[in-house]
Amino acid sequence: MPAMSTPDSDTTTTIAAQLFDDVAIALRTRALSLWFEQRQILHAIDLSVPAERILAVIGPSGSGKTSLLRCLNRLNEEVHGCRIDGEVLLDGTDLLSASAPVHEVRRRVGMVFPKPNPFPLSIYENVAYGLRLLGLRRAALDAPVEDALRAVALWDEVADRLDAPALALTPGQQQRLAIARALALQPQVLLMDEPAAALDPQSSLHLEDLLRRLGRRCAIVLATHNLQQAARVSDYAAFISDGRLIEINDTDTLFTNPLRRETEDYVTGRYG
Amino acid sequence: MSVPLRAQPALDVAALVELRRSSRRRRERAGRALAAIGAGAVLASVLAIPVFLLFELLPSIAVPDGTGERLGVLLSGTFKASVLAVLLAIPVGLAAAVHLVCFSTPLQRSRWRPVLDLLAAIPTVVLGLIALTWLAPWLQSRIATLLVLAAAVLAAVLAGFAVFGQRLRRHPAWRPFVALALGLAAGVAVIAWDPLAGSVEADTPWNAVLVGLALGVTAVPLICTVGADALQQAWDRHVDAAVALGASRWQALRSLVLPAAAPGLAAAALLALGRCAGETMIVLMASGNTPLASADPRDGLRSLSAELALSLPVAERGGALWRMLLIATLLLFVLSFACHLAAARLRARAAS
Amino acid sequence: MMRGAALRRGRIVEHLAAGSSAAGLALCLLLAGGIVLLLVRAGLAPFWPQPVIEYTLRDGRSVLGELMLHRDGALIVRGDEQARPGDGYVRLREAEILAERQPPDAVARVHADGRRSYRLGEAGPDEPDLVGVDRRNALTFAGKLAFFGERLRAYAIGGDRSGDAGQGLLPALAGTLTLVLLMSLIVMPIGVAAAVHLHVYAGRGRIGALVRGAVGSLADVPSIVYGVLGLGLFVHGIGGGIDRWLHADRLPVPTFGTGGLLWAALTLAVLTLPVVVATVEQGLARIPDTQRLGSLALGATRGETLRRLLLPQARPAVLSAWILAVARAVGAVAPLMLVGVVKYAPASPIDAAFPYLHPSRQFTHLGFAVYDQALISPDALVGVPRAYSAALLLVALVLVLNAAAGLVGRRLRDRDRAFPL
Repeated sequence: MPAMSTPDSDTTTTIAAQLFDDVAIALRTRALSLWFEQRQILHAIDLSVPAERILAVIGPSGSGKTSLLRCLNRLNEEVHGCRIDGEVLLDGTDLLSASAPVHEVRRRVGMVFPKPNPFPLSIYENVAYGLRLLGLRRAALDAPVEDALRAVALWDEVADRLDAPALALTPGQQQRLAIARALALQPQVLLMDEPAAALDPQSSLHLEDLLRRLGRRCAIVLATHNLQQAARVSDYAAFISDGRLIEINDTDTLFTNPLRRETEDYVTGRYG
Repeated sequence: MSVPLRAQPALDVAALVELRRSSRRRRERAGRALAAIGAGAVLASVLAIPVFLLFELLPSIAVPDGTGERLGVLLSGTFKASVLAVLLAIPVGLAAAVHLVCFSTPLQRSRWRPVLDLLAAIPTVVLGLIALTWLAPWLQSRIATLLVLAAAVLAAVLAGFAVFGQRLRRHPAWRPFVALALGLAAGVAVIAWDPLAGSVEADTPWNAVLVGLALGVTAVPLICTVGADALQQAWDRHVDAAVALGASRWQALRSLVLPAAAPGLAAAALLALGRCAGETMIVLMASGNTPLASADPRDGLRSLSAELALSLPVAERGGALWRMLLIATLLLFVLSFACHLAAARLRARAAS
Repeated sequence: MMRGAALRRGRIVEHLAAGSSAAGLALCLLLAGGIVLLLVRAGLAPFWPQPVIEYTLRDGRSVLGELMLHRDGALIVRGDEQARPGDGYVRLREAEILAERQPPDAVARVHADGRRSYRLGEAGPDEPDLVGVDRRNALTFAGKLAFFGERLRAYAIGGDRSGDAGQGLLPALAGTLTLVLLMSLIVMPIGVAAAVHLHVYAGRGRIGALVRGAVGSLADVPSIVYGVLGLGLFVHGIGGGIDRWLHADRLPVPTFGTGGLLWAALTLAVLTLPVVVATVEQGLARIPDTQRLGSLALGATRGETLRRLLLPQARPAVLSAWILAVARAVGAVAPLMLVGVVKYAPASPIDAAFPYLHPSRQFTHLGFAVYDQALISPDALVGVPRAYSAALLLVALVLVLNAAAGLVGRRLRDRDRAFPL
């Protein structure tokens, strides 16, 4: 099997045997490569994202975590001079093919950004933003907005001031609002790019609790360079270095007993 | 029977997306088309001037007799007025820019900005009116007084600051007002005494000095803002290093900041030159519009722009005068474009 | 000590540099303030009641009238006008004047055709064409103020027969406002759409850079060149074409093929397009990119992101772009001289007759009134003060617009950012 090839080869990915045998796969990439102008950022990545689980993508800064995530919802196309090769399969269809309208792809693959980016609207309108685009009116919005806010444990904190500006919330609340905003659209996959990067430790822990609960609701891809966070939260972990997917395994094994030398160096802090 | 909201079946977002797909696609296409139309209109208006001029001029290469000499006279008038104006405006505009960047706090800068904005916003027809009716009669016999005036004001300010400079260190915001008081006192004294009245008599009250002064007023705020921009960049980049070596503000300015900002300052002068060369109303009102090819600033002049404003309404379409005027327009366009390009190059070099 | 002397010299050089550069700033302040003060004084002076003076000359004659000008040892006095306005000026040398006084019983009279005449004592024979009589030398300060206000009002709204006002400024003001309004209707949608295209669709690509550079260079093209474009392309080209097509029966009398409101508005729209595009694009660029990406990540199309998120936030920028464009257009007189501004519009471009706005008609303009009254008026002693009045109104308009743009813009800018361009 090519996936189980020699452990110290640079170019191939090490996937533990029978890793995904008993879970459904929500999203899968095949030979995904990315270039900005002439520079290749990602090299032929084959990644499987298990449904209703949390997959942590770890790796040093600049290794391509954010770029990989932004390939999965085609947000890289907003960057001038980007070129993508390969496939991103969701429900058996290739998201990168021209037949899927890009905004519908992004509805199914939600994203949360490193810095909280609430829109300068009310709390309510922030959550309702994506649904309003689908033509829903206020009467039909109340229920899904409440659902989404409850799902991120924000409802009790803001129920009495839904029309207050979202920018008045604390950073931790803003980040949970951003998650609620994405959840309201019922995504199949939720991409989280360093969601705790701008939060204090307290809010960060709060967010991790939330992630663990959400992980039973949809597939989550969590990009982080915080190894403890990845270990605490995720079910599976993938290690990326220099734009190459090195190893993917269940989190415990990857951290305690990595198959590849590079992974071991990184998780034990001997990287670089 | 009322059903509580929570009992309703969950919203099916995927179905909604399906439902709205075609209408969203239509709207997106319409929006994109509207934006593209706007961009197309802008592109068309950018190309309209050169394309129109070439389209009108190209059918025949023949140039009417006398066009060359006529255009030469007009071009020399344009250059005389604008070069004089820029020469008059550079010291004032640069001094103001230096003061804003090197000797002012950000708060003072933000307070002085409206003054420069106001000066830049005054319509040129108003400056032309003031030059024509208020300045011209006084200036005709007092061109020499002007030099004495400048020298006296500068001397008064320098003397005043040599004496009081130490005390003003604690009140840097007062400096321009102290300079204003000193300069005003010296200026009023010179004008009242008027030692050289009549020593240099211009043949006409509407001469190049008058035009240069009025055009200079439009050039000062431009030179000041663009120059201050260039100086600020250089200042931010170099002042820490200079101060770490123990240099004073003036030493830092002279040895590091001014050389680094020089391309940007040259760009400011070029932009002002382009602006003055194309300016119409002031020249039209204050220059006397005499088509003379003379370098003497005491003589009147006629510029390309004034010729266009005066002659084009009476020119028969397609006639010799019409063609001559279109060539003049092309000259003006190329001139302003060249100034813009050169200034953009210089500014890019200053920024890198 | 050598070192002490050098230090002191260095400090003095520093003071001199600070002082001489401060003088540049002081001159800017003097120019700005001086011009505004001069305009206020010269623009309002014609409305203040000038005293009626009686000059007694050495040869026994006496002259009654208003002093208009005192220069080079001679006085120009406006006396009785017999046949038409402006024929009553008398030039007196200082040497021939024996005495002058302001008789409290002097009467200034204005006739229906605009002539002035002055009498002592009674108002004189009651001529049928008298429209105004005042005893201004006897007025108290409050009375003079009321007189001033009345004349200013009459001048501003036109139809004034009792002052130096002539046609009044109302037609010129109305023409100016109609023009910039029509121009705004043309330039704002196009400018905003182009800015949107540059920001949202063209992005950082090569075409975007090309259009941006072209728009920037367009901002430096002299306004008179736009006037030539307006005359050649809009008036002769498009207007002439419309005439041949629609109004062939009236040719060779042109309908659209001559200068008019529409062509002037189009010309000014091209002139102000760079300002609008640049300002709106700056406003859009100031919105953090994370907001745009956040909206796109929620499945919004670019157009939806723009309409729901970006444009509402760029509203102040659009407003300030509009104000800047209007301020620039109001001050641009030169191109108008080529595309249809006239001294007296035979028919106003706006009236009560259908379709109310007549885009092919000629119009009057405040800025042109300044030029026209100062340079072409047959009676300079009356024309120049009128020019100053028009100039005052024009400057007030431009300054109010610029201040408004500044206030709107301040909401966008950091106050203490380094001195911006």
